[in-house]
Amino acid sequence: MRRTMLYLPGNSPGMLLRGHLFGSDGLVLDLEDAVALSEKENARVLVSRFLERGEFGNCEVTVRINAVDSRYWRDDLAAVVPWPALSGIRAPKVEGPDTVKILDEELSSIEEKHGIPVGRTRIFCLLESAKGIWNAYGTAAASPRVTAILPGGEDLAADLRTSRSAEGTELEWARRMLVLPPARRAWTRWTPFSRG
Amino acid sequence: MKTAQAGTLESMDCVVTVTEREKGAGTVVSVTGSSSVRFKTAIREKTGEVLTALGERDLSVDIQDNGAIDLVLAARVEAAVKRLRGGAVS
Repeated sequence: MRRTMLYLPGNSPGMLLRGHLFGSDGLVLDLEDAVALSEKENARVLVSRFLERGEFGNCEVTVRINAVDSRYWRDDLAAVVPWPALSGIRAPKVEGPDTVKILDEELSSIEEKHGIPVGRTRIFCLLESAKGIWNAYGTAAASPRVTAILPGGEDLAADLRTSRSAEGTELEWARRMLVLPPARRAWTRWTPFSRG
Repeated sequence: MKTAQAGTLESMDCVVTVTEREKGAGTVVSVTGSSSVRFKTAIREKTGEVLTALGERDLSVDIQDNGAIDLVLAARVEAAVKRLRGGAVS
């Protein structure tokens, strides 16, 4: 079940150590927005060591990597994919199936290199632009690894040239688009936000 | 001599500073901070372990410990050394 997810900054040992104590369904070890540019490499080493030897209780563990248009994402994947504690990666700023295919290819290469069954690492796609929402079906269908498509908040609102409200009406239509039948057909087992 | 650093002053973390020494000078590890009195030996051993795994020698390693567990210490030493060498940290 994926009702709650707790984001933990990848360069904060205190938070990484205690994150699983708060009872969320999932933990997201963040290498993207929660980590300053100057600390990307240090965070990557720390998250890698936590995946190797850390404790996560019953939480599903994913890592939010840096976007594929950055220079960090390949090193992020190389550092986290080998460890069995990792359930999947969260890919930010997914705009369509091409992004998923790029990730799929890189993940397969790393899995083969480490003797991991190809396809084990799941992909959770963060859709943070109007284009990403529009291409949701193609994104969901692009690879069997795609386990969830998640609409963004702040970045999506910015891309839509609107602002966040307490009611969230500005993102209502975008969110509804993700549960339209075309998106549902892309998944074999469907829950409101993800497949198992 | 080149120097590199990794870590923070937050609790459960440590700041690791590594500096190159002359070839053949060996490695020296100094430990300060809240846990240094009780855990100095264990911190030194873990640091030595990581440096050996990385094939490193002839370094000065200063560790300011704020209660880091061994996997955090290992990650910070590894990151500092890789930053010193200028290679990709992965």
